[in-house]
Amino acid sequence: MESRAQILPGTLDLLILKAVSLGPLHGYGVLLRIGQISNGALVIEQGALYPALFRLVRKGWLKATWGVSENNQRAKFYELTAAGRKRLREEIEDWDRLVDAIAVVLKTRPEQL
Amino acid sequence: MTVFSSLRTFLDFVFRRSQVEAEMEEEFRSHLRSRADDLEHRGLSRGEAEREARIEFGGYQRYKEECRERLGTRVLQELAADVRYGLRQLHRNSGVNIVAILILALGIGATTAMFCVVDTVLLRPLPYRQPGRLVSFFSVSAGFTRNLPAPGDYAYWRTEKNIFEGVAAVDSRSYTLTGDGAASEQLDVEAVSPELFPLLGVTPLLGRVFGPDENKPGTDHVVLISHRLWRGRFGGDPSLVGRSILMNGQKWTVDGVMRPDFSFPFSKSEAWIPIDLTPEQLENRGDHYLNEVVGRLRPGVTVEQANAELLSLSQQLAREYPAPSNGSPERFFVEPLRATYTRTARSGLLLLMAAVTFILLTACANVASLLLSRIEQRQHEITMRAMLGASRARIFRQLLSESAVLAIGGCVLGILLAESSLGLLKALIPADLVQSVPLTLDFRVLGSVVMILLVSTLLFGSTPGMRALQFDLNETLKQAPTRTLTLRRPRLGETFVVAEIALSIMLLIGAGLLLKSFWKLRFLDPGFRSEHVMTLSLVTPTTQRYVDFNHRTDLFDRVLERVRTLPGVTAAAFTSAAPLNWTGGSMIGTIPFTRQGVVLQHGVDRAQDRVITPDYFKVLQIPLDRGRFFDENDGPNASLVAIVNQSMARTYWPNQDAIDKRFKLGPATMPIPWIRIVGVVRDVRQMGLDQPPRPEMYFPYKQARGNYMVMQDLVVRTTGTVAGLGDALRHLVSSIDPDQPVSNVMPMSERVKHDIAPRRLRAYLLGGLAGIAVALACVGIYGVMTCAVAQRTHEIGICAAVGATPHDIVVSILGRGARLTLLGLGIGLAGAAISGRLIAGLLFGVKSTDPLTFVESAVLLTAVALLACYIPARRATKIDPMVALRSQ
Repeated sequence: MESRAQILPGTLDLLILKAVSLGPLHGYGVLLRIGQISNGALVIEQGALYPALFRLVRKGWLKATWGVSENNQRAKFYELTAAGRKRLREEIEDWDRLVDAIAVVLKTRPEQL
Repeated sequence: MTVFSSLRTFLDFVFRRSQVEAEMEEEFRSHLRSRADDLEHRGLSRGEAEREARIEFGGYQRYKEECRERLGTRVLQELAADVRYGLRQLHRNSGVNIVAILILALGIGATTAMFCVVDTVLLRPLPYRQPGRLVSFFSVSAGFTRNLPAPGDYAYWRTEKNIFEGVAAVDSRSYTLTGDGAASEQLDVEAVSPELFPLLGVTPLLGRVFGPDENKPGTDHVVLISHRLWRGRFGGDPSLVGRSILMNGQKWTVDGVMRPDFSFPFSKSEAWIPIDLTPEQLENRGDHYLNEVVGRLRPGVTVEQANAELLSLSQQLAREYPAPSNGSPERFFVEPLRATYTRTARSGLLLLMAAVTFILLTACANVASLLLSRIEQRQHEITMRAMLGASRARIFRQLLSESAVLAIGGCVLGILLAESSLGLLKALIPADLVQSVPLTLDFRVLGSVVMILLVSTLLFGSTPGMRALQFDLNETLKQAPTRTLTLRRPRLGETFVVAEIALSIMLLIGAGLLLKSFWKLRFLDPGFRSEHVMTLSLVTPTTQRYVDFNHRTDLFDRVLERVRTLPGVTAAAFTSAAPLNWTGGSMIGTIPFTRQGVVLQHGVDRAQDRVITPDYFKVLQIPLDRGRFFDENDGPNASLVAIVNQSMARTYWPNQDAIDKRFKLGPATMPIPWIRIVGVVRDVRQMGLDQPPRPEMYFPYKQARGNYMVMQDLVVRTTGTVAGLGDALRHLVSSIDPDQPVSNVMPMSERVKHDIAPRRLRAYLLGGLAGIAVALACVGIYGVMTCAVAQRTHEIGICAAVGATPHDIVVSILGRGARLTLLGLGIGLAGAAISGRLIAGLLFGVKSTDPLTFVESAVLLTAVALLACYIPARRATKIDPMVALRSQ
């Protein structure tokens, strides 16, 4: 994936799951929400979102249904399944563990060795 | 990913592909629209907004492709495209491909069907406990290499407790089943030792098998019946056990009903009774009439060890009884039971098996060279694809799926062919094979054959194409399409052709030899005329109302008298056995006799005996050599007379006139009258058309009072057709005695046909297979030569331009084909000469190295192969030098 380094590889799934966990969204909506909650700090190439969405649906974490968007257009809405909710919890735990571990590593001083 | 979700994806792909595609398109568009709307709100013009949205989105098609990949449908989609492409290719070269599919189908069909027959007959274990340890006994005596056992020998064998766990004897008899208000029936009843059932390890379905004491003479009559008889005649009534049935007018208590899959020793056996061998019989080593003696080897004892033991037993017996029959000492041997059952079929089946294996190999080779030549023509196209960016894997997959289309077509057709040819092949299974297993398509066999062909198709269909990619693409592209050949490939194709020719010539010679044997037998004079003759069996039980000799002759007289009044009937007679009724090379029906004035140092003279009514020779039109036929004067009170055949006259009265010579049926000292020979008749092939005639004597029925050969076969000659005569005869017999069963109703010509049917089937099958092999070889050589001509277009063009005549060109190309053919012929002829002894046992009247057959086959194959080369050679002469040169 050619995504510019703003997003750590492997974290796109986490972001999408989190975004969708706040309420059903269509693809463009996912993009907007990630931009909104990160205050524009995280940028994804827009098209790259879709392969990720398709993969999450295939894994059974997201469910897709056709509905009507806020501007009255037919759009595909994604929502979290039960399995997706569980997955999100696990991903968040993994992420926290990783962040803690890295934080510990980064705080290490020479005298502690 | 769960199985379920991949299945759903697959089903979605199959059934909703266009919908999935449309939805993806719609979703992407809706995204772009929403983004453009937002951008428009920020003040961009609509056009700019849409352009910007597209740029931000990134590679539209790329992401679509990625999405498809995420869905798991991309591979399927490419496969579908490949298959479509493959089908288009097939359509374009439809001629070549139909040939390839047919070859595959033939290979799969013929091989699978044949393997199934071999599996059924030769490989499947017999349906008894540990069948590998079951053996059957034979003796080598009186000039017979596989003589049936005598009861006296059986008595010795059962004492060999160190090698055999048990030994059981079987004597096949025929009983008339009456009563129950149903029509009377002739049953094949086996008198067996009670040890038989535990020895085979079988238990009855109902009731029990005999106890060890039930074979003593004088005990109650007990019988076990087959499942078939129980269901058919007694309606499967379980209360039958313990009740009695009427056989030969006597009551027999049904002890038990056997299981449906049990049959011994023949598939037609209907009932089993205890064998009642008297102490005298158990000392009789001269009459070899037990149909089967079966034994179970002790664990760890081999057939070789058993035979060594039996050999020393026979040597010991030879010392104790210093008068061995016919001068040569008697010798015993055992062989595995399976070998006994499959002996007649085995060599024929193995031969056909070898033939279909050849066909399978040839089919593989052919399809391979066909695919090779096709890929060859597409080398340029493949290189072009690679240049345009197709990955190696993609090209490989495409070639693979093209060959898969071929292979699957061939497989489907092949399976249908195998299934439909099983019916024909059923006739290859010997009728008295004990296993009544149905012949069905075996899926393990089918699977392996299909695998072999699939792998070879896929292998040869795809790997050679890949070779193109190993060369420098630029270099290959610079060449013109017609010159992209490598030198290695035609070598492979030519090797295949040589192998195919070699295999076909071997099959052709084998088929030729079998066909000649069959024709020799077909047109062999059996010594009698079978046309317009009807035969049937009228077994008169000696224990019932015809126990009295006079009653019996009376019945025969009354039947003959009435038969002669039937319209069209010119002659009718009874005999103890019509020709070909008993067949085989054993000693059944021979009796000892003594010539007047001849004293043998050791051994006895033996001949087959037949009891007949006077018209017998007229019915079968057996010509008289010397003397006279029997007539009504040869009655019970007249002097005893006999007619002998030429073999008997030649063997026992060499260089003399046998007429008026005398012999008696027993030792010279026995107080019985001498019998005078009044006639000599032509030899008749009684025991099978391929069995040489043996010494034989005929006695008039009214003088045969003490003879244990009871007449039972009626032969009738008519002027018209025999159709309908059977029913008339049946009706006639039942009007004389409603309780008398009639069996074996069959025109004499049918008996002759039956006798050679296995040979005919084998010969025709091998002939058919040889035809297929030759056709395959021709397709192979045609393909290789066509390819060669295509490759050399340029060269031939130059030759033509500098003055080669069409004749020169044809000769040069035919020469190349002839070289391949001759090489293959040489190898094949040598192979046929070496492997000839494998087929020798199946031949009649022709040697396995018959030079004429070899020459004929070679000439035929050469002619056909050169014809196959001639077509591409002709095409080469049509090459326009200008066009050929310009094509560079």
